[in-house]
Formats: sequence, structure tokens, C-alpha cells
Amino acid sequence: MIANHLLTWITFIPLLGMLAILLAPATQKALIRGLAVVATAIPLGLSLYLWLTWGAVNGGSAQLQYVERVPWIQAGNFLVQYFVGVDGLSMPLVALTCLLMFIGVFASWNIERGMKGYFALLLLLEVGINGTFVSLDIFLFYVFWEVMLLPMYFLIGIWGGPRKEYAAIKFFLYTLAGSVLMLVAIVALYLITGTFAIASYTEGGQNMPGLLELARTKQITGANLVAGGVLMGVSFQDWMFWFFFIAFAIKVPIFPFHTWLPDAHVEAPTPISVILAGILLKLGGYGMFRIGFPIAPESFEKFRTLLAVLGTINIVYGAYVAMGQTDFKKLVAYSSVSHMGYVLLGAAAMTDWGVKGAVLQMFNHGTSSAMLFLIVGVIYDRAHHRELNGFGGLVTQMPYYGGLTTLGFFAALGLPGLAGFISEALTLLGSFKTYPTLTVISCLGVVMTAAFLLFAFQRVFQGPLNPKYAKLPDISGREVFCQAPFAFLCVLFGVLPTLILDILNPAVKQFLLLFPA
Amino acid sequence: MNLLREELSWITPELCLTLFACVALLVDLFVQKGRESVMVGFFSLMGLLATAFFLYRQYGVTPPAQPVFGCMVVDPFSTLFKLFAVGALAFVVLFTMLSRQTRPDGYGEFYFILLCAGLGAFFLASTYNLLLMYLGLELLSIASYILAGYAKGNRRSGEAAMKYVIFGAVASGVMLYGFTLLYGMTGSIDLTVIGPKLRDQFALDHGTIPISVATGLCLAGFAYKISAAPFHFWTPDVYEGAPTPVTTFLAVASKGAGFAALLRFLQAGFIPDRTLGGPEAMMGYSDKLGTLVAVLAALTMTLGNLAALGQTNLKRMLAYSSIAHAGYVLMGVATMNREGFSSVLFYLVVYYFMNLGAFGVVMYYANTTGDEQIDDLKGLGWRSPLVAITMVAFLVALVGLPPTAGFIGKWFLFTAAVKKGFLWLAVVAGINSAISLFYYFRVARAMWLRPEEEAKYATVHASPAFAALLLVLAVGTVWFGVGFDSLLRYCDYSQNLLR
Amino acid sequence: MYFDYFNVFVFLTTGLLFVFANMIVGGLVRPQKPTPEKLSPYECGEDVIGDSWIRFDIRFYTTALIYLIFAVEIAFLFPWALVVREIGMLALVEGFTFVAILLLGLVYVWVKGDLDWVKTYNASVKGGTEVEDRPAADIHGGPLPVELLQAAGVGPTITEQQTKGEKGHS
Repeated sequence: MIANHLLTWITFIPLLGMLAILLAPATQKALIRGLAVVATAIPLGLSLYLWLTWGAVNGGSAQLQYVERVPWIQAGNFLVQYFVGVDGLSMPLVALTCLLMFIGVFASWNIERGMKGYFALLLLLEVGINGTFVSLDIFLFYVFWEVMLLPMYFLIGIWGGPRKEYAAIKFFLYTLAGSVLMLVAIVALYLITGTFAIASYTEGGQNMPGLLELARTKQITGANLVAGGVLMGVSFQDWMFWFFFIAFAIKVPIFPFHTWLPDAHVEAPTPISVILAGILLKLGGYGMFRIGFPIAPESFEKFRTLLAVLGTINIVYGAYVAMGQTDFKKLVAYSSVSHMGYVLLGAAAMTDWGVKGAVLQMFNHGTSSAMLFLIVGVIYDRAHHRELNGFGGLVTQMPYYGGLTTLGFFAALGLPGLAGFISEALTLLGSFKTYPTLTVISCLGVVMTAAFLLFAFQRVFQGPLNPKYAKLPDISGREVFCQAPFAFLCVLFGVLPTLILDILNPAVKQFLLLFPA
Repeated sequence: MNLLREELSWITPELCLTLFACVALLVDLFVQKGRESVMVGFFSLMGLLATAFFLYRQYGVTPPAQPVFGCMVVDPFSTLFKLFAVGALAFVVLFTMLSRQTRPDGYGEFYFILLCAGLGAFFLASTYNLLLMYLGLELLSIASYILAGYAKGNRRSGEAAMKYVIFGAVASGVMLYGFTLLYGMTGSIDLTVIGPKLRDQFALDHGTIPISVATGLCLAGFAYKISAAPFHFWTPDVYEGAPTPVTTFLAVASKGAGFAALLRFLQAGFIPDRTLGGPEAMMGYSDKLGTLVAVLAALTMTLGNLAALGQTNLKRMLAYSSIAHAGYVLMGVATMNREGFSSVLFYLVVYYFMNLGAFGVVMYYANTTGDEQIDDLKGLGWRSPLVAITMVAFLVALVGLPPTAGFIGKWFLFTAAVKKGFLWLAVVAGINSAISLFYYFRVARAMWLRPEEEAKYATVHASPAFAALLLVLAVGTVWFGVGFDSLLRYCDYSQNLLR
Repeated sequence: MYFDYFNVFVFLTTGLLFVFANMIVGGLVRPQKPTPEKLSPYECGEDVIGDSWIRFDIRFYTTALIYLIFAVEIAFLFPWALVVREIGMLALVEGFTFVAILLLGLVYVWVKGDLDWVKTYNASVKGGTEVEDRPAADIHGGPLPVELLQAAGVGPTITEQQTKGEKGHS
């Protein structure tokens, strides 16, 4: 029963947990924490099962796995299905979500004020994220996509820092503006094709082509909606493409739309920053790979150079701005902007290596940025500020913390032997074939990333010890427990990248097939 | 006599409502002092329940071929709207009963006038006869004027009533003028006759100016009732000044009835029968009319949303929001086809849940604290979490985010608009939704994002009955966001049988 | 194409011209010898006292409204009386229903004391006079302001208000 509905269980167990928490009395703090742990641990276990049995179940094929499909809303021609499934593209991200959420609960151990609401919202957030990753119906996808917004708003807005209200509403407005465009695009797609299914399926022995299949065979022209498929001098495909792209670009975030991110990251409490950087940004990238690009292959072909330029800007600009930051958390936030640029660059390159690098970068950034934000959280909990220049020489006082930080920083700056290196190298190698100039410029970003991270390390950990912090306790067991999985993953996929590349390979090949050569 | 009995049986709901309105008045005279609120309210509720029962019995029964008494149409479309009005009235009565403050006399009047307003909405929603439509409108309007000024001695309530009367008089006069023009052109006050006559006129190709003038004047009257731009000016003042239960009634039932009449008016008179194929000129005119409504829709929602941004009073903010929502609904009207009208029905049902809920929270808050400022909601979330949580559900639905019914309602409106070719309108509506988030979530911000210590008022516990009401509405709001297929079929069915 | 409506236009213009032309011509031709009596408004031969823009006692409006309702009732009942024999039972029932509803209203107003010429102010109303800026959150916004009652010339009211102790005995 579990194996048949694996994805449903992974997605909705947190919802059950949320309801249980809401029913629990607010005074029973241990009970609430326990429920949160259980409600995140079960999906984590299931997703581990998913990962470990992946090769055995499908023999490395690119097909969608664990597919479930039942009609959800059926009235006349209007058919929305509960249609879920995973492939090599989404499965690692689902697993990453489950892990991050599990860790997120432990990282939130100190939250006292309104903790019942906090954990309930956290679990609701997990439902939204996992649901988005597994959805194969675009209506369902949109519903889950929006479900994420509300908990995020309150998590930042209630438990955030001094400028939390501004950050929360900014995050909400940016994302909503994007998703409204996506909604219009979805409406148009539905009217053109009459289906919401992203992937194809068979119904009563009859093949029902999904949106991606229709796009590949050039059946989405919009000619049946607007005359000639051209609206205001722009082809319908292009409208579609930009609507989706902007919606996802805001989430990633891509350069002109990135301004919500530093605010949200800085103001959010540590566990929320971790989830935001680790998973929510990936949703944007995932959306592009799953829907945004393949839905309008020709438009993508037309504009991909522009996308590559945007990706490069992200890499260089993000790193450049990060160099100027003195706030530890803001620095890490901008490093995220920089790192997510690789995703766009690699995707735009449209080579096997480039796309693989981009997808891998999403996963690796999920682990390394989560670790970085946890590291910031540790020091913030102790010193109650994040001013880089206010520290110094901490490595003698907190050796274990220093050690973990070193690992996290090196993973983020792409040191060979750690995970970040593999994905960045793959991306750059892959995109060099298509965009040599842009790739060379992007390499500047790598150097700058190394510069600002090492510089930050120097300011915090080296030099004379700031006497104010001579008594800081070293990293606690709980904090080590939170960071250890990410450190482990950074090393594991740095040394044995094939463990994950074998999963990605078929999916990436499948992805490239969606585009006419 | 048998025929009479049959015809009478079709209007049982109306008769029942009238009877109970009178009963409410009588009960008020005989009940001992201090118990009027409970007793009169109870009898009103009984009346509404009985009316709902009769309405329910009519639903699904093959409607009479001819209008009852030559003017009342009984079809699923009108039944849907009547049920809608009865439900809204029931909530308004309950809200009033649960109101903390009491007034020694005047309960009978209040419920009587409320039920009469409901009766007006009944007639408005179920006739093709212009005269009866006008009478229904006036019954509804005049009752609403009195209700708006019901808080005697309160200046803002008086101002609200006065403004409402003046605007209403002008609008209904203008509308009546439009009706007379239609009568002059076609020689009938029955829309089912006017429609084909107009078709003939179009076929003669006399030009569309006289018809345009008549339609324009009529539309002005409807636009006033649904508070669409540029006839929305009364809305904020009246909504703010009127007692909150009355505002709830105006925002939900009155508006719904206005839309019902508008849909009927357009459907019968101005939508060419695509299967039979109307004259070319009529097709063109219908599309032009649609474009006009689309422009009005864009204008209404933008004005409503922009004005709502600056409001500090919760009720006033909701008034502007209701203007914006009229704009969204007009999107569906602008399509001038069955699918669009069906989406209008769906949205109105959804709107019913979320708006009743939002106004319910306002009333609860104003009754317990005597305050209506958004900023003074500070910390309410921590003080009375249940009310605040339901409010968040209503707000999310009003913005139009899944998984609430507000999203689904907007979805169908968007679909209908885009299908008709109003992609620009869908984009405008989308941007407007994003704008609306800002002001709706100012409420959520005040309730939750401010710490408990900033709370201005001491703990305000919702009475269990009131909490239950809000919970019912909140559950409805969320439920229709995930399991809306039955409602969808219901709306589609109601729409199908509309002639 | 719009020529059909040209005759309407001609009709309208002629009508307007006819009216104004007559008035202008009349004004030019007639003798003008104003006296104070001629200029005063006609009030059934009575001499005019004071300004016509005074505020009337609100009770007159109530009386007028009640009168109006029954005047309209009569207007409805005359045609009804003509056909009641033809239609029979149904008309009788309808007619009585109509009158009954009107009567119900009258009884209600009567019992509630709205027909009393000198009203007693209900002392159990809470709130006092500071209702002006309170939001109309409930349907029961408070009592009539004292000024209004004074304007209406309802003497006893004020005394009762005072004995309530809000302003102390005076």
C-alpha cells in the first residue's frame, strides 16, 4: 500500500502532522516538537527508500516512476487530475526537501513563541514544496506552488528579524506577481490544448498526449485562440514562454527579479533561510526544466542566448555584490544569487553536460547553501549580530565550528573533491561549447566567489580574537547534527558524483529530446 | 382554480417569505421586553428555513413552460440566486442576533425590512418582465435605504442612508428611462419578446444608436446595483456607514441579485442565438457590448483596488474590495456567452462565502471592541486565534490564491475571458489580484505579524455560536477550493436552462 | 438612416419654442404693476407669516406618510371594488390580504408609540449622547440625539433624560 502510493504519502504525511499539531494543546511543547519530527522523519525515510531503490526499480530508464493518476475535478470537459510521478529530475529534489525539512525541525528547536503555529506552517510548507515537485498536472502544480506562499509569508513575517514585515510582503508580492502571469499562461494553454496533464498518459488504451508532448510536436501554436497565433506582434509561443519564464525567474531568482531575496533571507529565521535557499530557489529552476522551457521549445531556442547572458550576469553580479557585504547572512544570500546563475547558464547551453551540470548544481547548492545558512545561524545565536567585521579569531575559541565552516565554504566555492566543484565544472564545460565568451566571463564569478568566501572566513575566524567573544561556547551537538548530513552529502557527491549522475543522466537525455534539434 | 393553485405553488417561496416577514413584525409586538432579539430572529430564521425548503423542492423539477402569473420565471437559475439570497439573509439575521449590543425596540422592523429586501432580491432574480424587475429592484433598494440608516442617531449611518437614497433614485430613474425606451422600440415589457423584436430591428439595419442609448441607460442602473465603475461612488460611504450586518447584506445578497438581473437582461435581449444565427449586426452589437463591459470591468477592478490600498478602516477597505470584485465578475459578463455567465454564477457563490466571512469577522471585532481600524487589529491573532485563522482563509480567498474557492472562481473567470479573446483583461485582472494582496494582507499583518503585547484590546473571545458560523464559512471557502466539481456542475446546469 | 428620428427632433424643438415664445411674448405685452399682495405666495387667503423655509415639525411627516399610505390604498381599492364580483373569491382574498398587511403596519406603528403626538423617550436606551463618532457597528447605534428631540419640541424627553442621571438633576 505504501509502495503504491509512495509519493502521496511523502506529500501528505506532513499535512496529517500539521492537523495533529493544530489539535495538540499549545502548552505541550515536547509533544508538538515530537509530532513535527515524526511528520518530517517519515517522508524522509520514504524518500530515502525512493532513492536507494531507484536503480533497482526502473533499471535507469528515463520513465516517470511511482505514477498515480486519479481524476480530481471532473465536470464536462474540465478534467483536473491528481497526477503525480517522479523522474530523475525531480526525485533528488524531493529527497532533498524531505531532508531539509527534517533538519529544519531540529534547527527550529529554540523557537518558543507561537511554536504550535510555527511547526504547523513548516509542515504545510513541506506539503506545498513536495507537491510541486511531484505534480504532473499543471493545475495541481499551480495549486501546490501557491500553497507554499502563505506559510512562507507567515514564517518570515512572524518569526523573522527587525524588518520582517517588509521582507515578508515583498517576498509574497514578487512571487504572486510572477505566478499570476503563470496562471494566465496556464489558462491559455488549457484553452489551446484542453488538457492539464504535463506528461502523456494512457486512458482506456488510448494515448493522451500531455502538454510537453504536444509542444514537442508543435501543436501548441495558439492559432485556435488568437488568429494566426500572433498577439500584438509577438507570437503566442513567445508570450507563453515569457510568462512562465518570469514566474520561475522570480523564484530562482534571475537578475532583474532578485531583489526580494536578500531581504527575505536576511530577515527570515535561520531554519527558514535554510529552506528558502535550499529548496524554494530550486523550485524556480525545476519549473523551468519541467515546464518553462519545453513548453515553448522554439521560443527557448530563440531566446536562449539572452538567458545565457542573464545567467552570466547572475553569476558575476551576485558574486560581485556579495564581495561588498559586511552582513554575514546577506553575503550568503548573494552567493545564492550567484550560484543559481549556473543553473540558467547550463540550461541555456543545451548540451548534455551543461544541462546535467545545471540540474546537479541545483541539488548541490541545496546542500551547500543550507549548510552556509546554518553556519550563520550558529554564530548569530551566540553573538546576536552578523556583522563580519565584529568578529575575529574565532577559530581558536570554536575549533569544531571553524572546521565545519571551512568545509561548507569550500563546498560552496567549488573546491575539487567537494560537490560544488563537480556541478560548476560540468556547467562551465558544457556551456563553453555553445557560449565560449560568456563562459569565460562566468569563470570570473568562480574566482570572486572564492574571494568573498575566503575573505569572510578570514574576518570571522582568523586574526586576533575579539575579547568580547572569548567565552563563546563551541558548536553544540544539535547544531552538528543539523549540519552533518549536508557536510556528508557535499563530500559524498564530490568524491562519487556518479551516485547522483546515474540518476540524472536518463532524465537529462529525456529532457534534451523535448527540443527539436 | 386548479391552474391558480398550480401557479401559486410555484411561488410558495415568495409567499412563505412574505408571511414570515409579517410574522416577524407581529412577534415583536407580543414578545416580552428584552427577548425580542432572540424571538424575532428565531422566527425570521424559521421563515428563511421554510423558504429554503420550498426552494430546494423546486430545484431539479422541470420548470413551468410559461412564466408564472405571466411574469415570474421559475428556473434553476433563479432558484440558485434565491437560495443564495436566503443563505445570505440567514447569516445576516444570525450576525444580528449574535450582536452584543441590544436595543429595546425596533427588532421587528429590522427583520421585517430585511426579509422584504430579500423578497425584492427574489423578484429581481426571477423575472423577464421589465416592470417586475423594476419593482423588485425598488423593493430591494428602498428596504436597503432604510436598513443603511438603521443606526438612528449615528451620523455616519444617516449620511450613508442619505447618499444611498440619492444615488439610488438617480440610478433607478435612469434605468427606468432605459426600460421605457426599450418598450417604445419593441412595444413590450417582456424581455423574451423584446429579444426577438430587437433581432428583427437589427435585421432591418436601422443603425444601433437608439438601442445603444436604451442599453446604456439600463446598464447604468445595473452598474449602480452591483457597484461597478463609474457608478460605484456610493459604495464606500454606504458600506462604512451602514450597520455591519446590513453592509454584509448589501455586499452579498443585493449585489448577487443585481448580477442575476443583469445576466438575465443581457441573455434574453442581447445575446444572439448562436444556433439559430442572429443577424450580423446583432452579433457585432453583442460583441461591442461585451467589449464595453470588459472595459468597465478593467476600470472597476483597477479603481477599486487602487482606492482600497489607502484605506485604514476595515469596512471601507472591504467596500473598495467589493467594488474590485464586481470588476472581476464583470469579466465573465463581458464574454457574453454561456460559459462566461456560468463562471459568473460560480464566482458569486464563492464570493458569498468569503465575503460573508470577512464581514462576519469585522462585525465580531467591531462589536467586541467598538473599533474598525485595520491597525487596531494588532495582535488579534494571538488573542483569538480561531477568528484570526478564519479571517486569513477569507483573505486568501479574496486575493484568489489556492487552495481556496477564490482561486477556482477566478480561474473560471480568467478562462472565460481568455477564451473570448480578452487576454489583456485577464492580464489586468491578474495584476489587480497581485495588488489586492497588499491591502488584504495588511489585515493579516496586523493580526499576526504584530506581537501580542501590541494588542490594543483585551482578550476578546468569540462566542461559540459565532465561532461556529465563521468556521462554517471558512470550511466552505476552503472546501470549494478543492472539491468544487459538484458546484461547477450545479452552476453549469443552472446556466443551461436559462433561456 | 437616422432620418426616422428627425420628426422627433422637429417635434421637440417646436414644442420648446412654443412654450418659451409664449412666455416671452406674454412678458413683453402684459402690464406690470406689482403690489406686495400680488407678490406674496397664495396660502388660501391667509396672510403669510415668516419665511417659507422654516423647519417643520417632524411629526407632520409621520402623519403625512400615514395619510399617503391610505390614500394609495383607496386608489387601489376602487378598481378592485369594480371587478371583485367578476373575479370572485380570489379577488376577495387578495383584497383582504392587501388590507391586512397595511393594517399590520398601522398596528405596529401604533403599538410602538410612533403615532403619539407627545412621545415618551425610552429611558432604557443606553449610550447617552456621545454616539456621534461611534462606528455604526451594530444596528442599534444608540438613541436619538437630544438636539433632535429638542428641535422636535418634545419637552418631556429632556426631563426624562436628565432624571436618568446622565446630567444630574437640575
